[in-house]
Amino acid sequence: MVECAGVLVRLTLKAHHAPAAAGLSLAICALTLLLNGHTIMLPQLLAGLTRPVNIGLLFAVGFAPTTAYLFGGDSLLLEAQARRSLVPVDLALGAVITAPILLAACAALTTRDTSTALGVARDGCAFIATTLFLLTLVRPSIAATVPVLYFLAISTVGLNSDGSAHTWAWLRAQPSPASCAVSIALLALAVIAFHCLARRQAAARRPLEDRAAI
Amino acid sequence: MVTDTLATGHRPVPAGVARRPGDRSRLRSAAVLLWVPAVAFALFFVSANATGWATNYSLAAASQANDGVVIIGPYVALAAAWEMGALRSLWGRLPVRRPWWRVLIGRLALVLGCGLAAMGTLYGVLGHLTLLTDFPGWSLPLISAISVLCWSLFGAAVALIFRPLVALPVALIAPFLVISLPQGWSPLWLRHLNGYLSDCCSTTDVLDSRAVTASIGFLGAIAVCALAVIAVRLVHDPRRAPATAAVALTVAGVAVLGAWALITPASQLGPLPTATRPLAQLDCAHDVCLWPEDKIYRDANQTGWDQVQASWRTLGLPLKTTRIGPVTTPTLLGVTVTTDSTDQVRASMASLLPRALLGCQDDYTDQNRNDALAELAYLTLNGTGHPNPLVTPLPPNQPPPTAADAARLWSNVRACS
Repeated sequence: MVECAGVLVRLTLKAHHAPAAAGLSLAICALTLLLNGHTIMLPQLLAGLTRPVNIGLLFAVGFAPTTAYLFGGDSLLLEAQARRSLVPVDLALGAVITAPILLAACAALTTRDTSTALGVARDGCAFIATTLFLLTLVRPSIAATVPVLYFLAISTVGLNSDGSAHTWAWLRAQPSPASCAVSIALLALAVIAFHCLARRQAAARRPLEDRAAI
Repeated sequence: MVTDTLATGHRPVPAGVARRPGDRSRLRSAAVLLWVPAVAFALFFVSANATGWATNYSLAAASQANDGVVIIGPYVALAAAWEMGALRSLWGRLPVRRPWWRVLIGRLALVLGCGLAAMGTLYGVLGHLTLLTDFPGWSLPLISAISVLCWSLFGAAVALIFRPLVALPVALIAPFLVISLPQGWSPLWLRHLNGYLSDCCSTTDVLDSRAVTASIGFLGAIAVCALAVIAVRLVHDPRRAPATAAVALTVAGVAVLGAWALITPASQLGPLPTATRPLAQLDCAHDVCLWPEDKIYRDANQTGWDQVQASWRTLGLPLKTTRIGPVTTPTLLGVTVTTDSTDQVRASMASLLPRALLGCQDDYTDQNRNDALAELAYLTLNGTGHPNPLVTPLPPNQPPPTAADAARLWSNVRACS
C-alpha cells in the first residue's frame, strides 16, 4: 500500500511539473540571496520615497506563476476523479515549492542575517498562499496575475508618508517574526483550502487555458 | 473576428469555442473591465504624486498626466495579452481568410481605444486642459499615444509567445519595470528613453527635443519588434513563413538601428528632460513680460514694478533696463512674481532687483553680500511710499540704513563670479 502511494505521489509530482517548479523556486531564492540588500527605484508616491522596494520582494512575485504552474494543470482533471486521499500529493507539492524557501532562510540564518531569512520566508509564503487561494476560485493564469497586481500596488502606494507600510501592504514592512508567522499560517490555510474545500474539483471543471472560449 | 469563420470551418467546432450569448460582448473584455480601476489608480497615483510645478502651465500638467503611463502601460499590455491569449489558443486550427494585420487590428482596436481614452482622461482631469487655450504641444500627447501603442503590441507579442500563465504576469510587470527602473539607473539620461518624462517642467523650461525623440525611438523600436513577432506568429500559410520571418527580422533590425540613431543625442542630457523655454513665448506689455499662463498677474507686477523702479531711482541707483520678466537676460530683469498681492510683489521685487542687476540670483553663499542686499531691499521698500508688512526687519542692534547709504551699499556689493 505504501509503495502504491509512493508511486502515486511520484507520478503526480511529475504530472505537476514538480522538477521545473522546484528549479524555479530555487532560482528565485538563490537570486534573492545573491542580490540581498539591493533595492529598486520604483515610481512610488513622493511621500513614500523614504524607503525603496527591496529586490527580494520583486523576485518573490515569481512564486505566483510558479505556484499556479505547480498546483494547476491537466492533472487536476484526473485528481478530481480520485478515490484515494490526495493529502500526500498536496503535501508533496507544498514541500516542492517551499523547500527552497526553507533552504534559503536557513542559509541566511547561518550568516546570522535574521532579517533576510524572515523576509524570504514571509514574502515567499505570502505569494504562494495568495496564488493558492486564488487557484481555488479562478483559472491559473488569473491566479498568477493578481499577485503581480498586488505587487504593483504595494510598490507604488504601499507606504505612509513616514515610511511605514500600510496595513494592507504588510509585505513592505520590515520583516518580523510575527509577519513571517502570519505568512506561514496563511500558507497552511491556503493548502487546506485547496485540498478540502472541493475547489480542486471546481478547478478541474473550469476550461483549461488552451480551450478558452473566445 | 476569427469566430466569423467558425461556421465555414472544415472541422466541427469544439464545444468549448461554440458561440454563446454574450461571449462576444465587448463589455466582457479585459480592456473594458479593467478600465475604471486602471484609470482610478492612475489618477490617484499621479494626483497624489504632486511634483510642485505650476499647475497652470500646460506642459507641466501634461507631463503629470503622462506620468500615468506607469499604470496605463501595464494595463494595456495586460488587456492586449488577454485578447491575444484567446486568439493564440485557436490560431492554426481555424480557416482564417483575413490577413494577419486585420486580425490583429480586430483584436487590439478596443485595447488601444481604451488605453488612449484612459490617457485622454488623465490629460483632461489632471491638467484641466482645454485644447484650444492650453494645448501643451504635440510632444507629450504623442509620447503618451506611442506608449499605449507600444505596450499594447508588447502585450500581444508576449501572449503569442508564452502560455497565458506566463504571458499575463509578464505583460503586467515588464512594462512597469521598464518604465520605472531607469529612474534609479546611471547614466542619468537612460531615464529619458521610456516615455516617463517626469520632472517636467517649471515655467522657465520646456521639454528637450532630444528626450522626446529618444523616447519615441525607444518605444517605437519596441512596438516594431513586437509587431515583427506578431507577424511571424500569426502568418497562417506555412509556405510564406520563412519570407515573413526574414522581412520581420529585417524590419526589426532597421527599427533598432533607427532607434539607436534617435537615442544617441539624448546621451548628452542630464537628469532633467528639459531645455530653456524660448523667450519668444513671453507675452510682453509695457515694461512687463510674463509667460502666457501668468498673464493674470500682469497688473500686480506692473503696479509693483512702477513703485519699486521709482524708489530705486530716488535712491540714485542705476538701472540697465526697465523691462522685467521671469528670467534675467541682457534686456530683461528677472524680477516678476506670480502672485496678485501687490505687497508680495513689491517685497519680492525689492529683494530680486539688485540680485538681477548683479547676476546673483542663484548665489546666496556670500553672507556680506547678502547683508548688503538685504539693506538695499529695505531701503527700496521704504522708498516706495507704501507701508509694506512684508519688509524683512533688520537685526535689532543694527541701525537702519538711510538713503545716503544707498550709493555706498551698492558700490560695496560685488557681482557674482
